[in-house]
Amino acid sequence: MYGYRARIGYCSPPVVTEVFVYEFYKMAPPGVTLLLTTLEVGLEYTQQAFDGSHDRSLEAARYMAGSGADVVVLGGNPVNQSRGVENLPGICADLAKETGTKVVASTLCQKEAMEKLGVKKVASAHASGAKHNERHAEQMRNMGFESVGVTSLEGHKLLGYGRIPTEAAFDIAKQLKTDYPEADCIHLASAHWPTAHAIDRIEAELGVSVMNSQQAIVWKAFRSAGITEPIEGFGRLFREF
Amino acid sequence: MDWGRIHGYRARIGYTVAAVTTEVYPIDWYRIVPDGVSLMMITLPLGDRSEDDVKKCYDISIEAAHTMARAGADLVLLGGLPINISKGDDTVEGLMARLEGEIGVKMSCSALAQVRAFAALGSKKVAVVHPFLPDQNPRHERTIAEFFGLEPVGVHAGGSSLVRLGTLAPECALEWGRAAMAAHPDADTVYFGCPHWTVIDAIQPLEDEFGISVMTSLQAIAWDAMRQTGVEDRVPGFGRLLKEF
Repeated sequence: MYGYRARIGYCSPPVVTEVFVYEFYKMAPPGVTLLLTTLEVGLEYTQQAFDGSHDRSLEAARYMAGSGADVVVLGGNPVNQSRGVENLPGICADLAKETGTKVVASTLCQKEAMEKLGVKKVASAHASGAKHNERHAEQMRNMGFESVGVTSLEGHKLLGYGRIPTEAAFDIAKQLKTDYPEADCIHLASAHWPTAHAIDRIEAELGVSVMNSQQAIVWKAFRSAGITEPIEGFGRLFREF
Repeated sequence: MDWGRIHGYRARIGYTVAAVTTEVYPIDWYRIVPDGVSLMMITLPLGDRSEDDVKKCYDISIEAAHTMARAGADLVLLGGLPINISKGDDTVEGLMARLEGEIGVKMSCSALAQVRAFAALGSKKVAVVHPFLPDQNPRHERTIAEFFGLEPVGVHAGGSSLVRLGTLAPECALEWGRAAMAAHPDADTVYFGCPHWTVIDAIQPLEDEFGISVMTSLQAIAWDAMRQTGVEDRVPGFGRLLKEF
């Protein structure tokens, strides 16, 4: 079968999913596949969408486990954090016990990635507009890291993330490092805009570590499923840990 | 990496996936399409194919078409032939036309893509291979005869289930295709139903071995989506459909 090494289940919050799958297969070695279920986050980040997505992600996780997934990722940092970061290990453990399959959550993947990278001061970039800056800063603090600054691309609803050009990730990272020179990590938030190709370049040219949501999710899923080899091209995280 | 472009810089295809979870489809999609053609997906809660399930998925598909249009799709293609035709064989083209008018984006669906693919290939006598239990055989024969207007010469059931589709080895499709041709040598086309199992590597070997056409759901969908959005690349390795038409 295609997924002869590992089959990774991902509960994908955006109601339409495009970029995550594309970039997953740029990173995945042969024999590693993605099982995808789309959830309910559409035009706006609302508590209703988070609640619906969380409930559906539990159903999807059960289905994926029944289909033979080796690990299931409960996607969506905002969806995860809506349950309380402190509750996530228990949610994952309970679901893993119920399904017999490993379960991880996006928030915990990102937290562990930053711990591995040894980062302390994080500057975040996202694509959902400046009104969401404080939410991103709070999410970073909830994960136990200092948020030194947040900036956003403008004019992109979640549904429009597939229209973001590929150079945007590097450009906004460069701006962040200029605005917040004390940052030792650039965090590219959300796993659904094109970022994977920019990670190595940001680390090399700006002298920081990069943690992006998609990279951290895929990294943790691979490592949990026994895909332990270093993978080149997507930053220190994949190369060194 | 072409900096400054979006991933789907040639065409972005919105596709409703008639399955709770998709695995094989995006892999085979990206093996077929040229660089710059991207896939936007919404998964549907199709479980046991009950009447209620199909009706629910039909309604969600309509809503999904609007969502995909807002997300910037160049074409929206509604997946799941049984869902597409669930309101009657004669309703599909009308639905696509109505939706195009509503959302301002080109529409297609799995059923129409396959109609066009059979027509391009000049198919007349069709042997069907599907991965499910034999209890699905009559439904497939009926669809070939009544919806496509072709002659069903026989059906081969692989005996698997929806939740196990991702675990099927690539060799299954080739073996089952050979079995179908051995049982029904008068077929001019082998049709592989369902785009969520590993089939595309069997297309060319079967065409070469038996001198027939092979049409698969996913191949037809990818072909129709590309042609409808002006992507005219001839793609080798996956049968006559993608290479010649």
